[in-house]
Amino acid sequence: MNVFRTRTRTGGIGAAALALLLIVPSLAQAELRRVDLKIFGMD
Amino acid sequence: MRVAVRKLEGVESVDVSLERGAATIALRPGNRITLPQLRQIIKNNGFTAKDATVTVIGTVVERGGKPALSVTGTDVVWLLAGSNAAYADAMQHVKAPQTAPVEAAGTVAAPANESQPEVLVVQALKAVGK
Repeated sequence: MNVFRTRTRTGGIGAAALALLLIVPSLAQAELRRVDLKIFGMD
Repeated sequence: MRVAVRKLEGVESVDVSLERGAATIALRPGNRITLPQLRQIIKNNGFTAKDATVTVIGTVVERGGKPALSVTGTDVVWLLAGSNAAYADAMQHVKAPQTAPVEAAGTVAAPANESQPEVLVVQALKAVGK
């Protein structure tokens, strides 16, 4: 019974770690926040 | 043009002034919009996009011993150029690599052709959240 409980907890931690791996790269990603483009003319 | 840009996922606001010859686009966090994408939309609407002044969040990486800004998620790397304190800061990142994101502001000239790498002439560089 105790062994079963330990495995369940490890699985929970694994799921949390996986969730973090999925979230963290998106936080680290660079992105444009503001763009001021010079434009001119109609072709 | 304003309507076409506004349709892109991640665009917060668009202000186009033909009088000033400028389009100002604010983007939401988490967007995946690229500069060539914006240039293409402007071109499709009959205008020509020239230099862009941008604010971007990214990670400074090294390319050939020089600093570059990795625009992750879009597979874009902008080479950094400049001769000011911001560029000196970027060089420090090359000497002592850091994974913490930075906010960079500067100018990206219109590329002569699509295969030419884009160069960000960096005017300001600061750690995100500062």
